[in-house]
Amino acid sequence: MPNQFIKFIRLYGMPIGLLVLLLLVQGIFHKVPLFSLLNIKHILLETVSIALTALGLSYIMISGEGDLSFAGMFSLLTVVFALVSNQLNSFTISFLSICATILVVNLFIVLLVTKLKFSSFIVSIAIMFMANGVEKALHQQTTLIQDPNILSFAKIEFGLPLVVLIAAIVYIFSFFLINKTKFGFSLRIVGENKNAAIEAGINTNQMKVIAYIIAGLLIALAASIESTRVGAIYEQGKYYMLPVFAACFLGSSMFVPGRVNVFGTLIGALFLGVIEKFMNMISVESYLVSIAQGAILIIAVGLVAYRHREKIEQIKL
Amino acid sequence: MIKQGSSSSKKFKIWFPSTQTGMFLALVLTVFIIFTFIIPNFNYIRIGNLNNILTDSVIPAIFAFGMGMILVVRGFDLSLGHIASMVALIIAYLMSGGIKFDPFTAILVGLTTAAAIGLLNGLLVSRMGISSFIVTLGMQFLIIGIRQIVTHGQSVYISNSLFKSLAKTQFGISNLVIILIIIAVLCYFLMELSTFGRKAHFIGENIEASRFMGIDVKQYTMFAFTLGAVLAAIGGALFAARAGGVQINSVDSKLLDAITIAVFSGVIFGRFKTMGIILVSILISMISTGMSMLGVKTEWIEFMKGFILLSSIFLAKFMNMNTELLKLQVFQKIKRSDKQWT
Amino acid sequence: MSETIVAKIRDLKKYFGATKALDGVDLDIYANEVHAIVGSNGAGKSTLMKTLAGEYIPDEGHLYYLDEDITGLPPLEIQRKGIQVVHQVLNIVESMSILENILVAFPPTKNGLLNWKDGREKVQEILDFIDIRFDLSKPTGLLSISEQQFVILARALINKPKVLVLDEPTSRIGLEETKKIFNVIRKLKEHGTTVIYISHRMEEIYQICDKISVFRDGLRIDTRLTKDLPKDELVTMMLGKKLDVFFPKSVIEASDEVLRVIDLKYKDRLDGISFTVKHGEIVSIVGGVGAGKTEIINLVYGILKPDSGEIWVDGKFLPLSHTPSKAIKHSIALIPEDRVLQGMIENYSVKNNLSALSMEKISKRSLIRNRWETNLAQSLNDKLSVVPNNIEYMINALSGGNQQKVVIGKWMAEKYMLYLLDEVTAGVDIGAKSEIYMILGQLAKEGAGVVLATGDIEEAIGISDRIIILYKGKIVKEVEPLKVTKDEILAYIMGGEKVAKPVY
Repeated sequence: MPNQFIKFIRLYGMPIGLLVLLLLVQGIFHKVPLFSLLNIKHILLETVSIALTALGLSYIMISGEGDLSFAGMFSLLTVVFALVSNQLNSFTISFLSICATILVVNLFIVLLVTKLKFSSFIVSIAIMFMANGVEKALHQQTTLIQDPNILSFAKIEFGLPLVVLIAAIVYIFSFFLINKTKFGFSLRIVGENKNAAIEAGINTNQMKVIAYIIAGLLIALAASIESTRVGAIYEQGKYYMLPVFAACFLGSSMFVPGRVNVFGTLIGALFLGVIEKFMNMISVESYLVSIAQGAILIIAVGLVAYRHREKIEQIKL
Repeated sequence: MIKQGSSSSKKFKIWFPSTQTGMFLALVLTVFIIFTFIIPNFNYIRIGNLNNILTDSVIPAIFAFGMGMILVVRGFDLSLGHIASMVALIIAYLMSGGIKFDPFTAILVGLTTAAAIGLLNGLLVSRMGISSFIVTLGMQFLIIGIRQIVTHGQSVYISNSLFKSLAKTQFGISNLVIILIIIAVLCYFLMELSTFGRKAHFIGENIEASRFMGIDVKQYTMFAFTLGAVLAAIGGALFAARAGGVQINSVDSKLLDAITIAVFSGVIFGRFKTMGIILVSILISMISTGMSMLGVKTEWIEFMKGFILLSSIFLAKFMNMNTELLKLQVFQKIKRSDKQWT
Repeated sequence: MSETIVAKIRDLKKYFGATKALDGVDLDIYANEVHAIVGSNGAGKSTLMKTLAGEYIPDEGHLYYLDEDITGLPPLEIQRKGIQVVHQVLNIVESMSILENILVAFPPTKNGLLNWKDGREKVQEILDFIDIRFDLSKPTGLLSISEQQFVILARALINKPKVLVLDEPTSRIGLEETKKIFNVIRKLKEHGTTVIYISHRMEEIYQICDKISVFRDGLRIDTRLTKDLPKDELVTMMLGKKLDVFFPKSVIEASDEVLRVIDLKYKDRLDGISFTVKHGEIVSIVGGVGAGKTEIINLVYGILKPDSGEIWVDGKFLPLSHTPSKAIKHSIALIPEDRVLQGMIENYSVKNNLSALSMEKISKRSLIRNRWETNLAQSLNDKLSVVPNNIEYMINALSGGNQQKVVIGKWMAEKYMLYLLDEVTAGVDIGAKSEIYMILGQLAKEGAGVVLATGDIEEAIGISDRIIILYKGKIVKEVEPLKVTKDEILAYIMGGEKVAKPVY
């Protein structure tokens, strides 16, 4: 019996712990209702783009690579979105154009990584800086989205905001794709043990290409949503990095311990989003928020890593 | 790939005449020639400009030394830029605040703070086993927050002329260059000639084997992060001296330069080659200066730096170098090697 | 054995840069036979098998399977045709279940979605065939290496191959498990499958294989029926020269204790280990995998921390929290189990590897003096007769046996009191093995204590003054090599009961 209990704790302990933490926080600051319907809707809405970007990054990390470029690409995409939408006044065309942009970039990256065996990490850093440069150059011009139709996209609701529903569908779809299909199975193997994948006849390059394509589409989706929600370009690309990575790493501490997984990322993103929005609501200054996020990341990952630390110390016998 | 470069039996190897250096110098020369002729009036090769280029390369090089040390032990530090800016702010504050500290004490306090942060980073990485990427990413945000609290977003101006003289030009050469040379020599001795450097390189190459050889991996990791932070802090202090003041986020972007230089140098020359870092820094400085003289906007210069990082890897592939030279244990896969997991 | 040829290898050539891994190999593989492939390191065995499996594409030559030219086909195709290779390196996916790992190449689907239930029956069938029990939903990363080996075996068998290649299948498993593997091989032979058996272990080859093909320098030297090939002739063919001295025999008057271990306990691996080693003694610790050999070694050295117990070295008490660097200061040396991952620094020169422990000697005020380093490294290199004799070469370029010599070599810069060696001759060819035994004998002669953890009983009998037999974390017997037979030792390793009949 104790064995089962321990197993349960290690798989579900983290999400439960986070929930408990939230309840505690709510208890302390009971003047601001964290769990009211309105606030939850609001929080979800603001967390959507982080959740989607984190999902995209998850695909890449599950395939065994790392990526920092999204930090720069995201802002760039919002700029492109704004520019295109101001010219052509169509959500669809704007969305498609930023899809095209990021797909070109991601295909370039994955080509370098698979065919030329470059380190995905370093390449993505280079791309991030390049994207930053391009973005700054481009947004000398107009930065506000002017088309009211597009701006209202974020406000459509069917009970819950449309974008939240879209995100939910995307997540559920991803869960099935990654855990219940042959493709997802192959992808996970590629990420965990490349040699095993080769032995099993899996085309590792193909898997990575698909992962990067999906990731690109997800980030494009996130950028579109954020553009319409904020109504302007999203300048805080740098500060975007932390919650996205934190979501993925936090997620890797639950459900499938040690591996990045879909629902873990979702919970991670939600939790971080909730913390941030809540702190805003109780008028905590933004820098304290960033301190909190930094601390949470280190503590959460630290807890998981520390548990493993003793084990990593042991030589594999 | 069998021979590891010709080793001469000279006593002091400043650099060895190998193909990599040769090709790199050729590249530098090419760039130099291009800019000399493209820029009108031969302004490029004026002594003042050349001096500028050299001086501009100092601070990024020092940052790159810091990043390079951490890269050697397979770590990564995203917080170096922020550490530098925070130290710069501290120094500036101390010298201009209620009690006017003298520059030496202020610098000392600043460097100690940096060392403390670096030590903390190192501790978290080595004793808690958290991947350095996550630790320094989190630390970056912690620093942003703390910085805001301390300064309330305001810039600080430095009036202390003794401090500013760190960046003064004497006899045609900036003091910065002299400082760089001193630091470069120290780094060279530490990382390339000393037993410490050798063991650090071993750790970077194979942690397990290093442990079996009795090398205290934890200690070395902490050292590396601490030294890296201190070097970054020196860079920050010098930046402040040169600029005459510190804005809240003025040094953050130096991280990019540090990474570009350290990676470029690492891929072409090997894990930590002092001369390599200096040369790469000069190259980048040459390109930046040249481009701005041609009227290119700063954004595109930033773009160019990212492009250079990318091309460095291409260059390495082209020259058939071992691109695995910079195995970065950035995304530490949490290994489950114990039976008592479930 | 039948006369039907199942697979043919014709004039196969494979180069890696300047290295001729395969230099024109011809080989016929018949149905229903167990065919051993032996040869020193670098002879080409693993390369041959990887080429057969489709992972390498040969530079020249052809592979035929049932008269079909399969040269250049991708691994999955070759697997589908019926050739399965079980490699030395266990490529398992740790976070996935045993079921998923076994079916990794052919996951069962229903309506486009994965359906693991469908696969269970098939997998259970195979596991029964192998005679092993698994909880199919257990994550494979939690299994012991021995168990993981069986998972890989099941993975290969699930496709009912006609040709099964086993590359060093028993090097990391215990004797009960080896028995199972041999049973599987016999059953497969009855069913018409050919088994290709690559191994260093002579007793096993002579037990189970019908034919032996000897490889050397990328060529097949000869193929003979096992019964027609005496062991010493086999060795000669492998080496290309006669090997007289195999184990040095020197009887030393042992004296004081150099190591005393009292009631050492470590998690669930070691349950109260006590033994002593005297100066000048060579003591072997034998046992199956999981018995605890490596744990004892690593605990004495300080890489692992024991839960309780005492360790005394040369009369001095070692606190339980001691570390490798303290161990070295106490004059204890350790040559670890995994040469590549634990013993050497890849991408560095032989010189740098040899001088790795002698930093103080080759430096003045912490600065390394190149000439001193070169001199030191060269003398060690010569002492160990490392081939090729160039200390500037990167250690990656050396063969396994020579790499091991370098790994040992760095410890030869000083005289230590106690040498701990973990599977020091695993994966090392006979020539280098012999040289290593000479070195160990010399060290003992000079007064050091030598502790040798090994799975090779012949080695233990050949070289030690005393053998400690381990079973499931306990010492079951201590014997002297002259007073015991191999079979007896095997019996103790398998459980502590004396069994008179042959073990397999």
